[in-house]
Amino acid sequence: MKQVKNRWKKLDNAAKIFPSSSTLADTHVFRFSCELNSPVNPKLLQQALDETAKAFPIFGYVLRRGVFWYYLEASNLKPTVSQEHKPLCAPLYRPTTRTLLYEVSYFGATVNLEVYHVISDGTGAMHFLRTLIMKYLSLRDGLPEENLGYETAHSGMADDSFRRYSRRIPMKRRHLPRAALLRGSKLSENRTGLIRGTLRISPLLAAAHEHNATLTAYLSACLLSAIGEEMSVRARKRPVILNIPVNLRNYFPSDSVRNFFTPIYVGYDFSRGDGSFADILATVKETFARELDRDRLTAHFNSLTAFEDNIIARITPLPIKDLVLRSAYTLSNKEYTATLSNVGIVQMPQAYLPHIRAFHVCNATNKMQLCVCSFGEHISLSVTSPYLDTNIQRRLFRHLHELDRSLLIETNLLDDDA
Amino acid sequence: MKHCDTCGIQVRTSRQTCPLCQSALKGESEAVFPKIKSLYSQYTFFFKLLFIATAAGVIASVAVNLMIPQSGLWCHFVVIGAVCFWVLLITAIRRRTNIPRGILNQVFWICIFSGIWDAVTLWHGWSIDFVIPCTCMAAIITLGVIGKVLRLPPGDYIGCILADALLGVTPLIFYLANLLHFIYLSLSCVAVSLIAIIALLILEGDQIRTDLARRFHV
Ligand SMILES: [Zn+2]
Repeated sequence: MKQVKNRWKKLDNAAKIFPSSSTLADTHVFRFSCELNSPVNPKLLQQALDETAKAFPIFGYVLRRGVFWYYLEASNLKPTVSQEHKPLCAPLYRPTTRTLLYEVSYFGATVNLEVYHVISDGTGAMHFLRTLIMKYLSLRDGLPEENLGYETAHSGMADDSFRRYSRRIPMKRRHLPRAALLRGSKLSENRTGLIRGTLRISPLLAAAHEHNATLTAYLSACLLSAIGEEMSVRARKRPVILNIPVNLRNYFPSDSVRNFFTPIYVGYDFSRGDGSFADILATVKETFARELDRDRLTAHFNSLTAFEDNIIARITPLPIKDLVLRSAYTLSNKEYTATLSNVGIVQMPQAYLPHIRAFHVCNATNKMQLCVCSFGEHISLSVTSPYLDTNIQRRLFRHLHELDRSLLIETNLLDDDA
Repeated sequence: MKHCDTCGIQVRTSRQTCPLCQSALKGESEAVFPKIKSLYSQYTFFFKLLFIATAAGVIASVAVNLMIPQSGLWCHFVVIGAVCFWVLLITAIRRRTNIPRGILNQVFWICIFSGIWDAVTLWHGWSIDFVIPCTCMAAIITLGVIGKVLRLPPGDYIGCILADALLGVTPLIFYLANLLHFIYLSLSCVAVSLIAIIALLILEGDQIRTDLARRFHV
């Protein structure tokens, strides 16, 4: 017991910004959901969660304030399953109480995993949810547990991969233009509105391939065009820019479940281009080809490790660091209009497929964010937004509806939110 | 499953209207998300009322004091009292899940506030003679007992005892500066604190070292 208490870890490179910049409106909490084919049994889910938590020690850590930096400290807190009773992606970290940085809840047939970005990114959290669902179904139906294609209880699991792959690459600081920003009245109590569309993946892939584009590039163009069309003429003077987190595990081998991503920025200037879908997609494809390159990606996350290595930055007391990082975050927020993150394909062993209806992912943010994941023959697109207005979502989903008539919309917005 | 005729899209929801275009939906209702109640609980409302009440009390007493200056200057007592009340209340609530840290913060504020009260009431020295040494001593003993009885992990309370013991050495300054009228409590407090510090360093040295290492890592 004593040994457990004394284990601690520095925050990884990408996580350093999150505690300082988390607010009630921007909680840095994201949610993965798995919809099963029958209502959840809370007792079995709790049992599955206890086992899963053991396999992912980093999820048992709590966030503490040091004198100079935040750090993660091992705790012996036990996660408990509860029926969903809090707003979507509500804050998980409170500075004065020691709580786990993730939560598992259920509603009907859906299991939700909410994670504070400090301990993990989408890839790590998805491993956790897949393991949880596998253990739950194997407890419920006696299905055999299978290897999910990554090493658990592996020493590399809690690695800071940024440190491992950081190297000096001379590069000019990127100069980003200020992006067009969405405005409008917000939902009450800093709530996050979610509108989610599920459709078959094949028509979407066919449409992307028809334009010789990847799925992410095609969806970026869809979102850019939807935002551009809905913007006022005045707002369109600035380019619409998407922030697209790139999973660095695809470029640098890593088994870490902690953060390992860096954003790239993809923009389109509606005041210059003709605003046609083809032109937007061409610009997006060009940017992707330029940015998705090992050296350029390394240079991006190097600017973060450089901050960490700067001695003045290191010995600045935490309250001052909080202020500096918070204003840096506010400034960087002006560089993009919305976020698009594609978590990719969710794999489950063959025997489990008939018991699972869908996987979904969404993120709390003070901006509009489109989160994408696909499972089996379907793809789930979740648009979260703090704004009341749903015109961009309407345009986006009507466009996708033209590709697949079976598109299904779900939302957490209530009638009186409108 | 519901259906929106305007968008032509299927919507799985318990809503009456389409989330995309606000026109009426037709079909069978199905809840995918729970209805979440307002975050602002009755407690928040209670604290708001309490805050309005204290603010009103403070403003009214300042006004009354100014109206009847012949009664002497007394409204600053009300102001200091209100501030003390709120600081102690907020500390207690914020730290309610971390008992050792809550006690440490309360001790700190009690020492500060007793000094202030003593100073504004013609300085009889009761704060440094009695309140500060008693509070510090009581806290060191309470923390030690709570830690053992509740079986808290050492990382949760050893640091608090150490910080409290360091605070408990400060009466030595008052003693050396000859400010004390009553030396017994202060010297006992210093003695208890020093013993606690030595015992902690010898018995929990490793714990304190790792504690310091993580708190001060650069
Ligand atoms: Zn509609």
